[in-house]
Amino acid sequence: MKKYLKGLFWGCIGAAFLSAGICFVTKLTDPGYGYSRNKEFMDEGETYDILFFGNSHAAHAVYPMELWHNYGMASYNLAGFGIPLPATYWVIKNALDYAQPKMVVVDCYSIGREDKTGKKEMLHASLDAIPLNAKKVRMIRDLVDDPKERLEFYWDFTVYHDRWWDLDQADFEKSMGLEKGAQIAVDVAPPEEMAREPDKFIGKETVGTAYLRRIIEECQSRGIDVLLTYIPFPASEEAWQEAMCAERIAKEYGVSYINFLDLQVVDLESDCADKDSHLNGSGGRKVTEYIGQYIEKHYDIPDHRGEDAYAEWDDDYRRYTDYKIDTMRNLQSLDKYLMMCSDPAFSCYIYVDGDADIWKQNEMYLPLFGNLLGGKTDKLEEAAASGSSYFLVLDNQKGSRRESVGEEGLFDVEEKDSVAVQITVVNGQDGVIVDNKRFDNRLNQF
Amino acid sequence: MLFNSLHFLIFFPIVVGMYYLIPQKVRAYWLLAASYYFYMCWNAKYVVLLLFSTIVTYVSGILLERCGRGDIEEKRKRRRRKLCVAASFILNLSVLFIFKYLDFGIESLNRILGYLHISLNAPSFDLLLPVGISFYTFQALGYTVDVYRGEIYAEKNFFRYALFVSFFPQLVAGPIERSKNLLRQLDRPAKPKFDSFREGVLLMLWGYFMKVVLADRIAVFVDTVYGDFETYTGVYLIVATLLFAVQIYCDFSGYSVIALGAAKILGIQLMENFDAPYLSASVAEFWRRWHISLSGWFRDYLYIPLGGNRKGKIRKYVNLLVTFGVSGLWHGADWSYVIWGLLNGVWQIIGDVLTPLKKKMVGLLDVKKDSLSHKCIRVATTFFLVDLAWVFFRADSAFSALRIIKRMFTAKNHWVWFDGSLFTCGLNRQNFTLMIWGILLLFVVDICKYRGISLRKVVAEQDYWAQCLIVTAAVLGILLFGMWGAGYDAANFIYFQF
Repeated sequence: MKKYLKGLFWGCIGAAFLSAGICFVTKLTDPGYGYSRNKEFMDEGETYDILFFGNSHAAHAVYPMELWHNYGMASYNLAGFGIPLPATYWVIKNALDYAQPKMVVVDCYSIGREDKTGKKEMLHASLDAIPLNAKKVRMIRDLVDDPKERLEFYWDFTVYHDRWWDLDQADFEKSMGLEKGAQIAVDVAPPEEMAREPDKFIGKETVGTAYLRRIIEECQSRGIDVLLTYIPFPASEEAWQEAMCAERIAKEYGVSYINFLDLQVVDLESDCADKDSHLNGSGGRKVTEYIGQYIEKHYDIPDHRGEDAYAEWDDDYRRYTDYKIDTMRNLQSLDKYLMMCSDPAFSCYIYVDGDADIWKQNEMYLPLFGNLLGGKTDKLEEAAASGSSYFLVLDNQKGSRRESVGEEGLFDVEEKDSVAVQITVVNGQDGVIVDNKRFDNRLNQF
Repeated sequence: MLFNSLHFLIFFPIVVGMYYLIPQKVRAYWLLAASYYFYMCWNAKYVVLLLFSTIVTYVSGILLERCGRGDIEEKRKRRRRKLCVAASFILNLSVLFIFKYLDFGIESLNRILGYLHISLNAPSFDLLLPVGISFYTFQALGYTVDVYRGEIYAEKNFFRYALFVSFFPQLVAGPIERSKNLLRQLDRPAKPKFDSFREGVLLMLWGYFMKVVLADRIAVFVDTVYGDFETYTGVYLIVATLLFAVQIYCDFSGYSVIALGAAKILGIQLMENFDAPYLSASVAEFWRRWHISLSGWFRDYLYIPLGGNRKGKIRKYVNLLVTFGVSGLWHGADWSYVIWGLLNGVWQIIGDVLTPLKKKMVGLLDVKKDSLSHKCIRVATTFFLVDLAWVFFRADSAFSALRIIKRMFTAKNHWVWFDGSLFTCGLNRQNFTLMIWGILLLFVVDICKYRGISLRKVVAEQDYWAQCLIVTAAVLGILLFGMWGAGYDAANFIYFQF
C-alpha cells in the first residue's frame, strides 16, 4: 500500500511537471497575435459600450482610441483578419461572454462568401486567444469541416511549436496592443479604379448572409443595438453587390446600415494602404470620425470622459499617442510620413525645397499634401506646377493654416543641395515638438 | 495508425489502462482485439490477408505436429512434414508475391521482352501494398519452420497464435519476432511492473526522439537534395547521402525502439533490433547489428539451409549473394533494392577475400589492432561502404543511383561547406544546427550502448524527482523540436513500404 501511494505521489508530481512545462512552451511559442489584440478586451470586457466586428477592412478603419478622445465612447475593435462572417459570428458569441455592450457594429465585407473558415492562419489570429471551453469546441466544429484540421485550433501548439528557432525577446515579454484591437496601416498606395454601382441587384443568398442574420438575431435577442457597415475601398462590382445585399438584410431586421461605398467620406487617392482593399491611417481616421458622429447622433452611448471608472482610458490615449509618434519616427519614406501627418492630433511645419522638385518624383505627393489641407489648394498646385519652394504651417489645435510659395532660405547653403523636404511635427496636446525629419533628394529620411 | 499520430497517442493509453485493469487470463484477448483494431485503422479489408496468413501457419503447425506422430514410417512422416512446410511457404509467399512483387515481375518481364524486341505489354495491377505484409508473413513462416524443426510445440490456442502474428507494437515494421520468444510470453502475459513501465516509457521517448526530431528533420534535407540531384550536386549530395544513413537508422530504429517500449509497458520483452550498427568495424558486423531480427531470420531460415559456410568458400560466397539479394528484394520490389542487397554481399565477400592481405599489412606496418585509430579507420571504412550502398536504396532507380554517385564525386562546389548554402535545402541554420546536435547525441548514446552502458539504468538510479524532470524535459524537447503537427505532413515510416 505504501509503495502504491508513493508511486501515485510521484506520478502526480511527474504529471504536474509535465503539465506546467507544456503550458509554458505552449505560451512561449504562441506568436501572440491573438494575445496582443484581444487580451485587454478579455480582461476588461465589461467596460466596453461598443464592439466592432468584421475583418481586416474594419480592423484598419475603426480606431477606438480616437472615438474615446473625440466622443468619450468606450469601444473595442475585435475585427479579425481575413475571416468570413461565420467566423465573425462565433467571435461575437464568444465576445458577448466577456462584455455586455450597448451596441455592436459589424462590417459586412465578404458577406457573399460561401466558405466558413477563410485562411487557417488568419483564423488562428482570431481564435487562439479564446480559452478552450465548450463554446470554443462548438465554434471549431462549426467552422472547420475536416476533423483532422481541428486539433490545431484546440491546441495551437501543434502549429506554433515549429517557431522555436524564431523566438526572440518579444516572445518572452508579450505585450498588449495600444490600439484597442484596431490596427493603423501606414502604407500608401495608389488605388485601383473603383467599379460603378451596378444597376441590378442580384441578391444571392450565401453562407455569409445566413450568418449575418444569425449575428443580428443573436444581438437582438440580448437587447444589443446593431449597426451594419460596409467600409470603403476601391470596390469591385461583386463588392457593390455585397454592400447592397447587406442593405437588404439591414432593412429586413430594421437595423441601421452605413454603406461607405455610397459616401464620399474618404479620398481613395490618398487613403489606401494597398491598391485594392485596405485603408491607411488617414482613411481610417475619417471613417472613425464618421462612425463616431453617426453613433452620437443616432444612439444613446454615454460619454465616459472625466469619469473615475474610466480614468485609465486617458492614460491609454497618451500611450496610444506616444505609439503613433514612435510609428512616425520610424517611418523612412515621405509618402507614409505625410499620410501620418494628416492626424489632427498633430500640428506640423513643412518646407519643400523648390530645386528638389519633388512633385515629379512621385504622383502620390500632391494628393497627400492635399489630404493635409483638406483638398488641393491653389498655392499647392502652383508650387507643384512651377517647381517652386512650398512652405506650410498647419496648426490643427487652432484650426489654422498658412501656405506660401517661393520662400527661400530655410536650409543652410551646404544643406541646400541635399535636403528636399523638412517636416517638424508638434504634439497637439502639449505643444512639444515630437519629431523633426529631413528627407533627401531621393526622399529617403536622412 | 502511425506511432507518431494523435490516434495512437489516444489508442495506446486506453489499451494499456484496460490491460492493467482486466484479469490476467483475458489480457491476451484484449491485446488481440487491440491489434486487429490497430491494423484495421489502416485498411480494414486487408485484415483478411493477415487472417489468411495466421490461419495457414496455424494449421500448418498443427498438421506438422500430427504428421510427426503415428505409426507410419519415418520417411513418410518426414515427407508429409515437408509437404506441410512447403504448403505454408507457397500459400504465404504467393500472397506476398501477388501484392508486392506481381507488378514488379510484369514490368521486368515487359522490359526484358522489350530488349528482345518482343511486344507483350502485360498489364499491371496496381495493388495497394498491405502494410507490414513482409513482416508478419516472415514472422508466421518462421513459426512454421520452428515447429518443423521441433524447436517449439505447435500452438493450440488459435487466438493466442493470432496475437503472436498480429501483436500491434511490432505488427507493421518489426522486429520480426521468434515464436520461441514471443509465444511463450503471450501464453502467460507478465504482471506489469513499475520498472518495466518506466523502461518502456524511456524507450518510447528515445524512439520518438529518433523518429520525429531526427529522422523527419533529416528527411527534409535529403528529400530536397535527392529530389533534384541534377541541381544539388557535389557537396550537397555527399552531405545528403551521409545524412540519409542517419535518417534511415533513426527512422527504422526509432520505430523499433517505440515498439520495444510499447511492448515493455505491456510487460512483454521484444528482441533488440539495432545495436549501434554504425560503430561496426566490418560490413559483416554491421549486419549483425542492423535489423537484427531480419538478419537472423535470413541467417536461420535461408543462409544456413542453403549450406551457410559449411560447403567451401565458393558456395559460401554464392549463399551470401543469394541471401543478400533476397534481402534486398524483401526491402522493395525494384532492382535498385536487389543491387543494394547484392552490394552488401559483395562488400563482405571482398572483405573475406582480402582478410589474409589485411593481416599481412597490419603485421608489416606494425599497426596496433586494438588502438582507437585503427578501430576508427575500420568503422569509417565500413560506414563508407554501407553508405555507398544506401544510395541505391534511396535513389528512385538504379540508374539514378549511378548518376548520383557520379555527381557526388565529379561536381566541384567545395565552397558549399562554408558559405551557408547547406541551409537552403529545406532546413534553415537553426534547424540544421539542431539536427547536428541531435546526431551527436545519438552518437554518444550509441557509444554508451556499444560499451555496455545502459543509460536507462542510469536514469532509473536517480531520485524520483530527477526522473520526473528527465521525462518532462524529454517530452517537452520532443514536442518542441519534433517535426509534427499542422502543416507537417507526417512522413510515413520508411519501413512501412516493406
